[in-house]
Amino acid sequence: MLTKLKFNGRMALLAGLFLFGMILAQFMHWYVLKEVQINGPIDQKISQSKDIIADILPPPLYIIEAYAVLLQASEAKDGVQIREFEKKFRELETQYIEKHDKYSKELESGSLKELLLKTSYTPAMEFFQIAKEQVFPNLGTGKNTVDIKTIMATKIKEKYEIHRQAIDKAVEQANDRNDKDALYAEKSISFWNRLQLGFSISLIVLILVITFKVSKSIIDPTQNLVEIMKSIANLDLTKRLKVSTKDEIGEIAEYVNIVVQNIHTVVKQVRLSTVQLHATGTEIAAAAAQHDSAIQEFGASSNQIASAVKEISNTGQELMNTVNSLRESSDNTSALAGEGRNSLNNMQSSMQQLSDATGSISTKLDMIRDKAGGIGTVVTTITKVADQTNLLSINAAIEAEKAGDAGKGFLVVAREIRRLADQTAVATLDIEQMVRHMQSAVATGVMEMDKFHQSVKSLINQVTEISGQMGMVIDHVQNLTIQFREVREGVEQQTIGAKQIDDAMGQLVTAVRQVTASVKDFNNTALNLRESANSLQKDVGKFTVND
Amino acid sequence: MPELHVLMAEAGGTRIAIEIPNLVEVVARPTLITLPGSPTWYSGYFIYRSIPLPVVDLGMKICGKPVGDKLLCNRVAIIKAGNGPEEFLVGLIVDRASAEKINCQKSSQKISSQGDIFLWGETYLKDNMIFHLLDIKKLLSPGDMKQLFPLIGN
Repeated sequence: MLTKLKFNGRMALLAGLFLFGMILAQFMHWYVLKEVQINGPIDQKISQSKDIIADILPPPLYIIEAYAVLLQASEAKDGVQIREFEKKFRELETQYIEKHDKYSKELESGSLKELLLKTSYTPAMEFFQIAKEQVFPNLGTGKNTVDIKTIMATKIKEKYEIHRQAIDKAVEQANDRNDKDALYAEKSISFWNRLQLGFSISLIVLILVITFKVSKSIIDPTQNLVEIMKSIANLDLTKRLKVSTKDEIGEIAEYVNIVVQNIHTVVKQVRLSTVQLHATGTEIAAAAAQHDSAIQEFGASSNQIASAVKEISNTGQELMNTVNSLRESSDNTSALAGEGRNSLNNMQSSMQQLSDATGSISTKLDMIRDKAGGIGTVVTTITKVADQTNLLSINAAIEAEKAGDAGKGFLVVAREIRRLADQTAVATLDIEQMVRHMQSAVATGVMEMDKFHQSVKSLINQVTEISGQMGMVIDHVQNLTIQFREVREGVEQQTIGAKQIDDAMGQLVTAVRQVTASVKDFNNTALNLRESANSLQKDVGKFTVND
Repeated sequence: MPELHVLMAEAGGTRIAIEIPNLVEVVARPTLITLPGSPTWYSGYFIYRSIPLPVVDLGMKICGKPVGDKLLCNRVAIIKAGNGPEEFLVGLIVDRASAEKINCQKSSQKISSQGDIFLWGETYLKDNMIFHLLDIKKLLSPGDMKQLFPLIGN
């Protein structure tokens, strides 16, 4: 309900409530004073109750009850009864003294205090003194009975009368005092009631005036603020509040102006940013399209790489198998190299024997070459003879032809000679060729044997070197076995790495697909961004700002 | 099939045959005495039975290729040369000479190379091998004879 009221209503409601409260409080104050004033209903009831009590109970500060107890004790005969009266008498004395002490502290100095605490006190204390010393010790003894009655009739009665007269005067003075106090209280209440009424009326008027002023000081700027805020609500950011006060409203107006100015600045900036955002959205859309195509190519490349990595992985496995085979081959080679070194040592000794045998053969071939030279000489001689025989047969044939029929027999002989000469020449030629071949072969053999001898020597040296190198090879091969083991471990790790790469490429391909989907989403988002930028540009255009 | 009694030999890479009746003697190739300014086919001369005998390199003469210098095989076939009433002995350097009696047929094959070799004899075929039957009368022209025997006709 309160929120539905404007500031005017709220301030009026506040002033009305305050006024109502003040009147109500004034009435309640008046009513209470009326109820509790002197001789008012409550005071009368209290006074009446006190009067009744005072009328019923014996007054402690008045020794009338002690006098009555003393009289009863003086008439009593039984000792026990007398002791009871004496006990009661002493209690009354104690109560009197206590009351005397109490009023000695509370009562203000004056005639009433003089009467009550001195004038009545002295005979009372003499009364108690005489009773305790002269009356109660003789009661119940049967002795001095006359003296007791005399004391009671004279001293005791005298002290009592003095005390009673003093009490009567104190009562009169107390009544006078009560009358005065009642009058004073009545006047005082009347004064303060009037004063309070006047103060309340003045306060109400003052509060109403102040409330009006305060309301006006709040409502006017607030209405101005409402007007400006209506303009802002209509997206007009060019108007500002007039700041004329330094109170909270003034601060609010100042901050509203700052907020509107900031909104004005932001809207202008948003306008510019919207244009840039639109351009950026367009560029992002184009970039997203390029990213889409690039991701497509990347996906294709990733697939190719994945297949290549798979091949690498398979190749690595094959390589590992090959390395295993190589390691086994290396082990076998190492063993064979060891055997080869032994064989080389054997071959070295065999080559040495061969070198010696070659030297012997070379010597014998030199001898054969010398012998073949001799055969050549003989063959030359035979060739010459055959040539001469051939020539002789030709000339014999010529002569037989010249001799005609007589030379026919000779012609036959000449032909046989020619045939023999031809056979001899052919045989000689064969022999010559054979000898030449043999000489050539022997010479070649000698040369070859020399070369062979040198070769054997060289071979021996080479075999020696090879033996040493073979030892190095064996060492290297043995090292190779270790290295192959390391290579195998490396290849195995490489195969594992290739497998991991293969798995990673699989994940990469999956990621590329996801990225492709994301890029498509991004593309759609970029298009949405561009549309949103258009929409934002339209919305921001609705604001009225200074250029 | 004609039957020929010939001296079969080679000269300048060509197989030739000289009829035995045209031969005087066949001797081994002697050391020749060369003459300066003589033709290429004129190899020199040597003393045969106390007379100087000119020797012709038959290979150079008939096809421009020398017979060669094969010591054991070269022969000098001594023939009677000259178309006139006078006959002169001339030595022909040949190679691989042998006396043979052969049955052969004339080659029907026309051979168009080897220069003017056909002026000196007919071509025959023997054992699938061609040879030329040397015509001694046509071998040396009068000019050749004049170079071999400068004193002829003086």
